[in-house]
Amino acid sequence: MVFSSEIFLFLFLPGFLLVYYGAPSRLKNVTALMGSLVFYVWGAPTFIVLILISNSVDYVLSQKIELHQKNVFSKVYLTLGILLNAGVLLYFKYSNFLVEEINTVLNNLGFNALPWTSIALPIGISFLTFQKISYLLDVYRQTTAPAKTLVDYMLYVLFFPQLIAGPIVRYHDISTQLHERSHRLEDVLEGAFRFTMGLAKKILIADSLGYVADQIFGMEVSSIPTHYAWLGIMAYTYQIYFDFSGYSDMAIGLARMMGFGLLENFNYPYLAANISDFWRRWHISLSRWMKEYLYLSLGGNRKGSSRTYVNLWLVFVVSGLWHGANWTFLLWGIYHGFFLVMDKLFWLKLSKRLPKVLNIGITFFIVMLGWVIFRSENVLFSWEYLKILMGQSPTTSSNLLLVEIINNRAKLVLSLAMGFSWIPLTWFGEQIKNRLQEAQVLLVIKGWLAVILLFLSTSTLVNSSFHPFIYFRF
Amino acid sequence: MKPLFYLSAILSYLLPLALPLFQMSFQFLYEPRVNGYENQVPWPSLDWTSWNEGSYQKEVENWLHQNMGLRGWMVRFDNQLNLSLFRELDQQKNIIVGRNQWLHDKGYIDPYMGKDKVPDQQLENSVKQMRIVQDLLAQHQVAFLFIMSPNKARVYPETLPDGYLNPKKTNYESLMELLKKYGVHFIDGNASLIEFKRTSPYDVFVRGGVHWSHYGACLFTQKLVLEMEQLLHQKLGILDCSVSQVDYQPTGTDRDYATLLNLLTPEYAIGPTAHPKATWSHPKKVLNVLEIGSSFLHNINDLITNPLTRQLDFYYYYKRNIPYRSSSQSIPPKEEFKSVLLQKDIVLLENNEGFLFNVDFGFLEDALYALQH
Repeated sequence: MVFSSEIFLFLFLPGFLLVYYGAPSRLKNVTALMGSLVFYVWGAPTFIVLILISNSVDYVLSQKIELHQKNVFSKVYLTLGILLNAGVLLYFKYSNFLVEEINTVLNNLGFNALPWTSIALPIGISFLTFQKISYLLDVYRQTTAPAKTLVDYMLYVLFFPQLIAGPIVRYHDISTQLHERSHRLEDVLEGAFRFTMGLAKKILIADSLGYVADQIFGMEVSSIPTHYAWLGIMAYTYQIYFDFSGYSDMAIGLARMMGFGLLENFNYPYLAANISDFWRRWHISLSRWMKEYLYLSLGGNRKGSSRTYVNLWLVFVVSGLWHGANWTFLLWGIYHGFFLVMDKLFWLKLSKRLPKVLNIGITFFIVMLGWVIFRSENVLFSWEYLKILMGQSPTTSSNLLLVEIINNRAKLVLSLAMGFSWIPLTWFGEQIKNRLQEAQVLLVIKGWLAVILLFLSTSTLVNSSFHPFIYFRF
Repeated sequence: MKPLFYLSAILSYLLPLALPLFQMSFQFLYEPRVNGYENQVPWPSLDWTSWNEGSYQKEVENWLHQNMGLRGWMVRFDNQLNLSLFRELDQQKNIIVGRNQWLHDKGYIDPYMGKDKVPDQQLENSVKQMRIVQDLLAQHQVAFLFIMSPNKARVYPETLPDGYLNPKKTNYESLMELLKKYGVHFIDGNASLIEFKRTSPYDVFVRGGVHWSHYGACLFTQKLVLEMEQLLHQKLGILDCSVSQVDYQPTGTDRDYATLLNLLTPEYAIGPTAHPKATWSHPKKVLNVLEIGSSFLHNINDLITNPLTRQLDFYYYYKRNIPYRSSSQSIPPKEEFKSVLLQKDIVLLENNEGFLFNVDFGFLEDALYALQH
């Protein structure tokens, strides 16, 4: 189930919170784990056994790693743990893609395709795997002690607020909170508000813009006029931001309602002054993971400039592939890796001489073009789309009218999305921020805003999938 | 005080989340039902396979979606918000809000704009089949008539919202040319209603209806009866369509789309509606009629069934029989089809612009088979 669904909002969440708040403190972790298991089993019943076994193996390995800290076996157990987790991820996420590509080559060469039945992807596998690997590495590096109990570890991995779409949580960020957290009413309220903001971002903004982007990206590429292409990528640029950040807000809000504090995952990424800055603001937990567990493991910047650039670029190749099994994700990772290397080579120095607004504009433009690659079904489509953006469209009109792609509400939503993304840059944004620091005003405004947004979001959600006919359909 | 404040605030937030479930279970609040048909989703039965595949969960979620409490209010609120603030409905709905509160169906606007153009060859094949069926039926003194129902977007293009154009050749135009070329008996609802619109003081479509108005259908039926009289070489009767009353109380199909809006204020898209007398002089209850077509035929059938027919079978989209005046509940099997056809006085095949990708709903192939074997 997803957060923005009726079953979650009206059934699971109130039911879970009732049981959770009613449970005594010593049973709250178990309750949270049970809730998380129900959440996972509902969405992916066939994989729960695999996940439970995998988690149990991690737990045992982490104990072994700690036990054998002073000898080589700790590295053996670590390696085993990483291989097992990475192996699961590679198998479920990439084998369909690999077999498809191999079969394409075989077919082109006139050979029979390899027999293969598509494998379903367990939900949250990418996030789970990274969390599990980070845990084992942290235990090995002695950044954290292993989980005291299997329940603790299971809860860390399967915690439902961040199970599907992050943020990626490091064990040591949460280990203390597993046993020492308070359930203050202020936190519940703040969490509820944060959850509602995330829900509104997802339903009221992201879904609305997603419809626009889907219409345009779903067209035959040769039939997309240039102005449609720009509309499509603008819509997608804000769709992905509000969708992803909305989900993070919901996760952080839900966690806070249970007394957990998760780290922020987004920080106005479209105000980044360069690509390096962008990755300090976008999916922060992933960047952090990549830096701590891959980049530094590859040597970071300790092995000379050339190796630093290679490491950076490799990290982004992996990051691209982590997002999905398609050449477009790989290309997207390469694209960002390239600009990161450019940053290090000369751009960071050069950009200091340029006005901040110009730097932000250039960065936004680069990121937006990158989203074309990310969103496209295949590399060829992305290449053609990029050409269309530059004015090389074979057509100036379309069968699909603009009025059918973007309605009045979506136009307002796009404007608001652009405003919300950019407003902190402005004097006006600063003023709002300062005013809202006044606590009483903030509480009252937040309260009303939460109720209004909750009602707007749930109404939109319920109505969006209601498509009645005049007459009964046979 | 502060903890009490926070607790109240939390309850104010959490209770609304639980309300829909309470409403679904106990129905303690008044809730308007949503208008319109949906395929009803039954509560699924649980078994190992459906659970593992995830189909059980999907069905449960679909069931909850249809039965969740306060749905009636949430749907109406969202529709009302969209209409009041933006003069439109949710972008994924088929209802398009035009000028002066005229409602249109996207399924009719699209063909009017020439979208989803069917290859002319495909249309031509259908028309050729129609001519053959017409001739074969004529050998047995059974008349055949194709009815092109009118398209609200075509008859009232001035009510479409800005941005909707009609620049291309459409399926309708191609079909009319082909029908003339191959000598198929037909009656063009678009041309007829455009003419009625020009000459009549009342609307032949109304704001909140997707079909022709009762008045428009009455005028068309007058023309249809004249055409049938020519084909059957007999007088059938005279239908009086003079208007008995004009008010703001449309009924039935005159408000089918307005009802589907599901608003908090129900009087949107309600305009002046002419109610025809629809009385007959010297009707001859003689006809045995077979109709194949869409919901546009309901308005005609309401007018002709009792006065003119001794039997009327209406094969709705050629999927099931709506027995206006019939003992049969279903479409007969192939082996009986010939005898059914040959018992008829007239076969009326009707279609509208929204469905011209399947001009005859599959009827012509079965009819040809039956008549040629």
